[in-house]
Amino acid sequence: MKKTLSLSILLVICAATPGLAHTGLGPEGGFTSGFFHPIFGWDHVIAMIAVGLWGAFLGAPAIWVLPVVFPLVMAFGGALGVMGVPVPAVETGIALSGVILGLAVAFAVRAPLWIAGILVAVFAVFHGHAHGTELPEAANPFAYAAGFVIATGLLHLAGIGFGLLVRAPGGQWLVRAGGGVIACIGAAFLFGYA
Amino acid sequence: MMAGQCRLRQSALPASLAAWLLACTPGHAHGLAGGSPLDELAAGFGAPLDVAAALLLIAAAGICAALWDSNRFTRLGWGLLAGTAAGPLMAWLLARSGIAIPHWPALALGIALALMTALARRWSAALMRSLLAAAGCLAVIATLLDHAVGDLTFFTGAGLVLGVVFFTAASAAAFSLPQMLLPPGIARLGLRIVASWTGAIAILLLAFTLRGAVG
Repeated sequence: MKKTLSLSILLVICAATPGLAHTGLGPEGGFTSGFFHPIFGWDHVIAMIAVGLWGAFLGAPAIWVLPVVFPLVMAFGGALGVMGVPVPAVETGIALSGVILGLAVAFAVRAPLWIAGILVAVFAVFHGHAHGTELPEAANPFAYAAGFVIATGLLHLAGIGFGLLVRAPGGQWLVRAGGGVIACIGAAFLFGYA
Repeated sequence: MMAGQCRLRQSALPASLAAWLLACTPGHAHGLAGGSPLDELAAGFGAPLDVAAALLLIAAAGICAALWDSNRFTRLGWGLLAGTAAGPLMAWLLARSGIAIPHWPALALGIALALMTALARRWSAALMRSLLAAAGCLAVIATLLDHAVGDLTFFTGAGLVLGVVFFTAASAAAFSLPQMLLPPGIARLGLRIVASWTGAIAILLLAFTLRGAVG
């Protein structure tokens, strides 16, 4: 048994990779950084969940159109931020997105698809721009972008998952209450309480 | 005591293997120059996986082909093969004439394909064949830009062409699977969302590229 244990240790020592914890690249490097960027900002989280919620609430085709529009236009906003193109009132736009989208869910607003799409797209530019500006130099842009987009998409899917409760008895009220909570958090950001 | 030792001995070998698998280094197979013809073929084959722009383009082309028609995407194969085969020659001609081609054309086509997939319209076979031909060609060119066209030998070129065709077909096949296993509506919805993610990643990477941070 000692021999097998020694063999294990030898194999690990021989095959171990060098430690990559101190690359000097800083925290804003790759996938993890990109992945947690949208998740650690509540103003972003509520808006992205609200997009999924509203999509689920509106049903097909909005249930897939809104989560498709948001990442694409958000990436466009991110590209503007990375390239240093200014967009006015970014923080206000982000906070307002939580308020408007939350209220749309809370009041069960059945907007036409094109209006919902445009609204979501406009807000997506603000979200994307904020992220793009905060990260002018990514050590691994591909990994950062992948993490960032996947996290955003997963937040939408979480919203859609919650939003599908509208099909359950009484679920519609739960989803609308969720929209109300999102609108309140958005308002807190808008008026500087958060 | 004896039973405990026995359990430990039984688990030591899998543990050794697991430790080795976890600790092993990634393969650095993408230095295209040198080695036997087989090494060159293998290096060329794996090279597209090492280049983000090529990888995104291949993924976008695969999703687009799978969503176009999950049963008949093989009909697009000739276009893909022809375009990919022209890639090494195009890269060589461009390098010879001193024209520097950056990564952005590959990324731009990846974004276009992702948008087409997200829109989910029924595109004509001729258009799809042309787009896949362009995708194959640009994936090869983007890959060669990262590995220096000077490294290109017959076998690396052949490996690269095979690699791009194989990974695009594999991507199309992989993205066809959900359409066979899940209800068609849900599968297509999921594919459109994944396509939009691919497009979004490509847009961000394009911004970094144009800004000069990449490529």
